[in-house]
Formats: sequence, C-alpha cells, structure tokens
Amino acid sequence: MKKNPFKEISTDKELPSEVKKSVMGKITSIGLLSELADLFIVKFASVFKGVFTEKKKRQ
Amino acid sequence: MEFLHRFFLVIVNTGTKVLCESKKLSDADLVAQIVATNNTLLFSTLYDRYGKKVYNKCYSFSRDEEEAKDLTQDVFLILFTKLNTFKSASKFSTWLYAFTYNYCVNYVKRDKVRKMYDASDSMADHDYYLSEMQDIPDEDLFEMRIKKLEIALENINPDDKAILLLKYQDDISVKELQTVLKVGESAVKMRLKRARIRVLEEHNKLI
Repeated sequence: MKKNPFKEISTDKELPSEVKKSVMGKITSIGLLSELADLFIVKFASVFKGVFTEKKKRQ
Repeated sequence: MEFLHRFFLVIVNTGTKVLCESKKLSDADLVAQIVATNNTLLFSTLYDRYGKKVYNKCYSFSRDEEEAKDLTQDVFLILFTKLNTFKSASKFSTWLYAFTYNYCVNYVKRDKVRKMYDASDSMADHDYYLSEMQDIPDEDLFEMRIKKLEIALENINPDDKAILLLKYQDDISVKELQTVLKVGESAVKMRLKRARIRVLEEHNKLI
C-alpha cells in the first residue's frame, strides 16, 4: 500500500495562546448574557405570573 | 477581609477541581455536561483538546495564519451555541471536523472571485458525466505528489476538498460521513467519486 499523501499535507502549527483568551472571554460574555436573559425573561416572568395568579385567587 | 479571602479561595479551588475532573471525561460526557451547565471552564477543556486540530484545519483552507486564527475563533464561538445539536450518533471529533470544514467551505465560497467562478456553468459541474467515468482506486489517488496535491486541492471546489480531507486525512468512514453530512450512502459515494476524479484531473493538469 502506498503512503497516503493527504496525511503528508496536514500541517502541525501551534495555536497562538491569544486565541484561547479571546474565545474564552467572548464565551463568558455569551454565557452571562444568556443567564441574564434567562433570569429576566423566564424566571422573573414566572415569578410575576405566580404573584398575580395568587392575588386573583385571594380576591 | 478574612471572609472575602476564604470566599475567593473556595471559588478558585472549585474551579480547579472542575477543570481536573473534566480532563478525565470522555468527549461525549464533557459535551453533555457543558450543554447541561453552560460551564465555560468545561468548555475550555474541550478547547484544549481540539483547538490545535481545528486551527490546522482552518489553516488548510485559508493558507494564512491570521485568517486561520479568526476562523478558529469563529468556529469555537458558534460551537458553544450549537453544542446542544450534537446527538452522539457519531464520534464528537468527526462531528467537529465536519462542522469546521463546513464553516471553512462557506467562508471560502464568500470570497468574491470564487463566487464568480462558482456562478459559471460547465459540463464538469454536472454529475451525469460521472456515470461514464470509472472511479479512481485509492492506490492511484495515493500516487499524487504532495506539492501538486496541495495546489490541486486549492483549485477544486471547496466541498470536494472538504470531503476528501474528511475521508483521507481524518480517516472518517463512509458510514460516519453519512451521519455527519446527513445524506445517504449512495450520495456520499457519489460525492467521493466526483471529488477523486476532480482532484486527479487537477493534479494531472499541473506540470
């Protein structure tokens, strides 16, 4: 079997460390934004819904 | 002050513990945990495992270190938001490589000059002529010269280049290609045949 030339053309360059810093920084921001969105849109909404339905029940 | 110091130590220790434990996890388990918790520390473990591989794959498409860095960054950012679409039907590495190539192919296609080339229509772009041609055995494909192969891969359609690299560089089987490309066996085989014929044609054109 002949040597596979596709394996020979693959490069082995080192990934610069600044890419990781940048990626992780941006991912932290994405994570924070999604947490905030979850807090205000999902959790707060369900709390308000709960409060108003309780009020209605009492009335 | 003492309380703050202790609080800080607890946070640091927890982070280190999470990082150490995540290193022992398999890819599929690690992905499942990231999806469940959105923990960025766990994602950094995934980045450490595949960052270099993804960077070199992006470099094989862009041939420019700065562009490859930008592509790698984009791939990981989109990956973080799309991790929940990984369904363990294939190996995570296979899925990630197909995902990376797909992103790179779209990037190359956005290039204006290539767009004009893609818009032109030729007989070679239609598959019906393939039925007349014989498929190329791997032995013939492996006779290609390395330098010429690099140039030939630049000259063929990026989709053909991606499928050839997945098959012959990453050793992904036809069955796995079916799963990640979401097409049938005959479609994968046809795409491979077309890519093999085109790369060999381009290779033989070069002196």
